[in-house]
Amino acid sequence: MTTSPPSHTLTLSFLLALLSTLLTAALLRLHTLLSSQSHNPPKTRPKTNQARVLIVLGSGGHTHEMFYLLRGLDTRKYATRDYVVSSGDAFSGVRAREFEETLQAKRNGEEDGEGGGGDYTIHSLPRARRIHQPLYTTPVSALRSFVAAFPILLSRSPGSSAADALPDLVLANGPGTAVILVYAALLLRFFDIRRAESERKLRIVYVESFARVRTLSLSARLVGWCVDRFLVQWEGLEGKGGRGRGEFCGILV
Amino acid sequence: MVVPCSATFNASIAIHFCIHGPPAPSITTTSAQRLKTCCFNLKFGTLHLLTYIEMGKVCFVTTGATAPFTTLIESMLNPSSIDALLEIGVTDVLIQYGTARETFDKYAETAREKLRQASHGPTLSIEGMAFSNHGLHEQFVRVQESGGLVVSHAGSGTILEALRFHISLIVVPNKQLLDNHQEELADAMEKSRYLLKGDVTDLAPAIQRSEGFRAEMNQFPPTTSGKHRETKSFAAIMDETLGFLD
Repeated sequence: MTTSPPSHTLTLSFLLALLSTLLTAALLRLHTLLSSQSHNPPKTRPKTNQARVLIVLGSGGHTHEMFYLLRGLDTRKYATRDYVVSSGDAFSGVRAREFEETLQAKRNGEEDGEGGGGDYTIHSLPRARRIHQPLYTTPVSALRSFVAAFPILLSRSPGSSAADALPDLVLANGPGTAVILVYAALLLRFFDIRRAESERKLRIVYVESFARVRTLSLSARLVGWCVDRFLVQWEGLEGKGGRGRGEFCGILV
Repeated sequence: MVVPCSATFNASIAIHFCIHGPPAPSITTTSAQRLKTCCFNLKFGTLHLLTYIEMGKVCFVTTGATAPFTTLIESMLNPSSIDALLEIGVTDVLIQYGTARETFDKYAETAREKLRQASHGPTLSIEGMAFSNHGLHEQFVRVQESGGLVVSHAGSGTILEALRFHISLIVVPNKQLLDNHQEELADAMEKSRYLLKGDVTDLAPAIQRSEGFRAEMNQFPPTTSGKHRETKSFAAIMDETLGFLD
């Protein structure tokens, strides 16, 4: 007489065992991911190996600070730039285009023939939370924004030789939208999608605002534990944030 | 305060005029007369040229675009602040009042009246503006060229922009704003000798200290390369993260 699958496979204890196994595996994976950040110094990269950088423009003051941070950007190394702006934030898009124009002017001025890459894309991401949006609807809009982050992170880079190459670097300085993108990038690395982790793509740098002197912002506290580098601009914040990783390098903006 | 760059500029026009004869029709009579005066002064090699185009010392006050800081406007126009401004030789006050036009009009009128009554001393012109579509670049340049000062709300955007002109800057935290970090930022920046922190209830001490501060203030942003390097640049941090070597 044939037996149906043993009924105990569907018991509560089995589900619990499955769940805890998955959880342990996930935690182990996360642990490997996060500890590799502090222990593996980056491999030396020749200048000719051009990088793609994804820049999250948070809006208003965050966008301002981001462009101050980027004032020394060398397009010979960072040949492809992807900007992410929140939907409805026209200001950040305009600033990105202006910034690209100054880069273009700089390249034309140099005229050393190897300027190359003038490639950039501006992506728009639905807002994680609108101003004055009621708190209880935030999870819904945040989830929508999270889902929309993947097509941006996985988007093809125009003109580059390896068109399906993921961004090498993700730069963020808050607020909400930046948090969403950081988590999405971490998830891609977690599952090593398109060899994100094995090829050391999607390295994340978070810079806390210059206006934060003694306490971290909410966004910084949300991402501090999982980014590759967590930079603070005032000495009082050194060693703060997730796993005590606040790295103080002086004023960067 | 003498402005060397505009002096050279005007002087070159004057020389041009001397060599090439009368001004083009587009130049108005007044500017033609100005040029004549310049020519005349040049001929005699006197210093009159420089004194002729002497420019007043400008104090520019910005109160923030989103939520106007009306107590700053009020405090800036009270008698003790005005006296302090006159004391350090300010001739022009320009206040960006944003949406707080009524506050500005009210206090500016009172201040002007006071100045008229005490007309024996040096005088001060008080002007206002709402917003500028082109940012505050023009105002900062005016201050820079006249060796004046900027008094600002403690928003980080204005601080970052103004300091790049290497001008005396007084920032005034708005204590009415809750859960904001203006006070902390102003303290930290003052400690690093980038700017002066002002108290909205009494601005006179900060205004007096601003005289001469420009000479002793630290350069902003800090130097990131060369012999006097103070910090790493963000570009260097990006390179380091990806393994780019110089």
